[in-house]
Amino acid sequence: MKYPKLGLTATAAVSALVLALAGCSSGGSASEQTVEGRSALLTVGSQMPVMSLNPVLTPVSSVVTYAYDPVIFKANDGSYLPGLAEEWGYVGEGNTVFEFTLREGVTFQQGGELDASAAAASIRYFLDTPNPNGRSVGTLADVEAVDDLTVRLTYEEAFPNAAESLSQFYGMGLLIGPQGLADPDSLESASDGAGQYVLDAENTVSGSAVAFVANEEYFEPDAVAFDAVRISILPDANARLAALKSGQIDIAQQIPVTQVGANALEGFETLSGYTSWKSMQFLDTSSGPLSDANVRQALNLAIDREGIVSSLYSGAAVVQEQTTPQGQPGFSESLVGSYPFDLDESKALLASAGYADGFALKLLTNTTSDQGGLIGQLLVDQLAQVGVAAELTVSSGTFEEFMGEMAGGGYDAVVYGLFSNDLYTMVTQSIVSPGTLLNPLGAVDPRADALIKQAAVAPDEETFVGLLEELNSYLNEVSFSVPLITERSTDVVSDAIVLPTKNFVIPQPNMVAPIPGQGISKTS
Amino acid sequence: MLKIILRRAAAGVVLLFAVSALTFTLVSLIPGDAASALLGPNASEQQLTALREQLGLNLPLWQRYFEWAVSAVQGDLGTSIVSPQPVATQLNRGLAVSIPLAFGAVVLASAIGTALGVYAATEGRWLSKALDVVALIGMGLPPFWIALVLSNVFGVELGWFPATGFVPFPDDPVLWAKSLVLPIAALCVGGIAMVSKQTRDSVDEVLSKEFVDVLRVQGLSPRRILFGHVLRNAAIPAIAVTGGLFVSTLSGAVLAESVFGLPGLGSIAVRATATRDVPVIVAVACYFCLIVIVVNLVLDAIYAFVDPKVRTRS
Repeated sequence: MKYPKLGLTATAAVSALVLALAGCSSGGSASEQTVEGRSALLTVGSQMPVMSLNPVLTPVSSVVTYAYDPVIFKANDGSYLPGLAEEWGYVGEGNTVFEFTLREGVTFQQGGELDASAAAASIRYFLDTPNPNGRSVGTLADVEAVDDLTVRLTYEEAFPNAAESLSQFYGMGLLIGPQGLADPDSLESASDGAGQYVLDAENTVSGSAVAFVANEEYFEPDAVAFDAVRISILPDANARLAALKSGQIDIAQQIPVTQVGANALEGFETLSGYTSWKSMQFLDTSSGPLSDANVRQALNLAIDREGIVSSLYSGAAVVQEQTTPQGQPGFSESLVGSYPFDLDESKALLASAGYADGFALKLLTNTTSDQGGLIGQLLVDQLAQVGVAAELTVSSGTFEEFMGEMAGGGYDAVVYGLFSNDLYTMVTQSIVSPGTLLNPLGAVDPRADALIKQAAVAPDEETFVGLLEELNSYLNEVSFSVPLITERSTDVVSDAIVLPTKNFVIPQPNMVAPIPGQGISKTS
Repeated sequence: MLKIILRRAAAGVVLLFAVSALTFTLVSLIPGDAASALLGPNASEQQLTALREQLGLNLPLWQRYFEWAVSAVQGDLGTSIVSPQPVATQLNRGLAVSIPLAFGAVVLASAIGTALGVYAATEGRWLSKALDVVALIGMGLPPFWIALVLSNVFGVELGWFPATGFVPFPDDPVLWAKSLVLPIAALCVGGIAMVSKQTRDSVDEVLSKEFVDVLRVQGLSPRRILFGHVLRNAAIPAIAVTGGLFVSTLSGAVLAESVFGLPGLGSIAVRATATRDVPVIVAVACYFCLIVIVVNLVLDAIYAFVDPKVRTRS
């Protein structure tokens, strides 16, 4: 008995429909270039969800910098260049008073001129609003408009990083206009910066895409490289790479190095930046084995950093033996290779310190900076080879609980990852200074403390960097910690993208810059 | 029948409250909150306290839930903690992605699966055996992997469809359809396997019944026997499979949305969980729950239509 061939008919019908659709082109057309010298559209695939489009509230400043220019622009090579301010510097000695002078004739996107009082109001809003960068800008006692274009910042104590804190990486420097400040919630749907692009609310979809169009009132029209910018939020790295390879986006940000290697990427360029600096920090060196510098040096020699890079990162990290990450102020080339993996030397140092049979070490780690506690586990195995019996605790609670565990005094050392930054910021905010994140017990190292204090009041950049290098050498010499590796992030870009440089010391290259040629552009 | 649907709808309302309360409680048990997610690891205790007060996170859990529930009953799902945007606006936008995706996958899986199942049952043994093997493979392949393969082959290499992204229907209907083809294809592979196997078995069973022989003897055409009698009887188990398929497709859609970069409910749920955005998480849970309730109600109605016994029972 012959039944109708329903299956073949249905499958053929669906296939025909799909093929017809594949051959269909859309009704819309690609946007055309509208202004000479500009490309029509830049498309970026980003991993990070944009939690806020308010430059003060967002933890990811790279998206809002399209619409908000900083007071001082930090270039790819780490130098500070004019942004909304043309001049800046400390007043007098001691690095407690900092002034910057704004450009003339700059307007905010929702109206209102940029002057000293508008800038001071924006900075005050930053200081009064809980935000992710609140602790990175020094302790400000006062912000005032000295005259129409000059703003003065007065610090409660010496702060040598004022220029950094006013750069594009901290919300404080990304100035908001008076209309936006009057209704900060409105910034989620209408930008009010003095940047190159204006938020295109119509094409912005919360959580999935952020769109901008060129700001035709921008003070440096030649620096605007695109008519429009579209950032697609694609949390999955495969999706970002697929979008790049199929021509949907020009730049795929934050692609794990392992995936770059696994994918055929001819016709694309990869850019690497340094992100997180991982180390084993000693929590209490006031007594016991860890109070002896020889023991701490022995632990540094017992670690196979190359092994960590190859087994846990598949090459997506670099070995780190000093407290300053590569490329940051304070980094010293002479310290590269200062702690090779040398078990014999490590054992000899332990023996000379009276610990030939090793000792017990309580090690803490957390799942945020050490996923699955894998680094911690590897350290336990490696330290065992020189007789150090490390007992690992993996904290999986909240960050506050983790901090409580560190401060509780029950651990000798902790595995932690810090954002790759200059040494001054790292030591004063996280590592050395008493009461900071990784020094919860308030230990004071007189030599390190003296160098930090000298750096804080350094009269110029050269002296400041010189003191950081001295501090870095000292911390390395006394084995203040066990630096491990620095993770690398990788952006993959299409060959149409033109980059000002491939060498950058910031985690990701600047997409926009107030100076022509400093941001990215695109060949037609 | 109406009585059954009303009873199910009433149970659905109770279920919605239970799901929202449970989600609220479970989310509060996850370490961390929106304040720590927003301010990051460098935040001081003072900043965290200030933000918690600002966001109302310092209030007891029961009070926060009560206030949310009262607003929700009045149709106001609140505002996202992370971005000051109404939760309903965000979710409705996600729904415009997830609904066509899930329905498309289920409808396609049902259509192709039913057709293949009938074909295998009526066209001999070798095809039936082949279907067993193919179904096993189809059900075993993870949608995530299928999505990656489809994206790379048809999106990147051949360029027939967008490798990622979603275009809203009003913006461009053709691009909207094109942006859904690969995600739907990735999601429906397992469903096709499941439905075809179920249909083949059901049709086989019905074909072996005596009444089919009687119909043949009466001289009815194969077409009339198949469409008028066999399929109607074989449809009931297939409808049950379709209900389960819809729920599993909704769950699978989260992964497909990730691979294809679609801003659906799944993506919203993942993002909201990462930032401890409680109003959004609870609302997403309620939306999913509501979709499942509605789908089950519709299936009940279809049951009643197909099977006279159900109508009689009600």
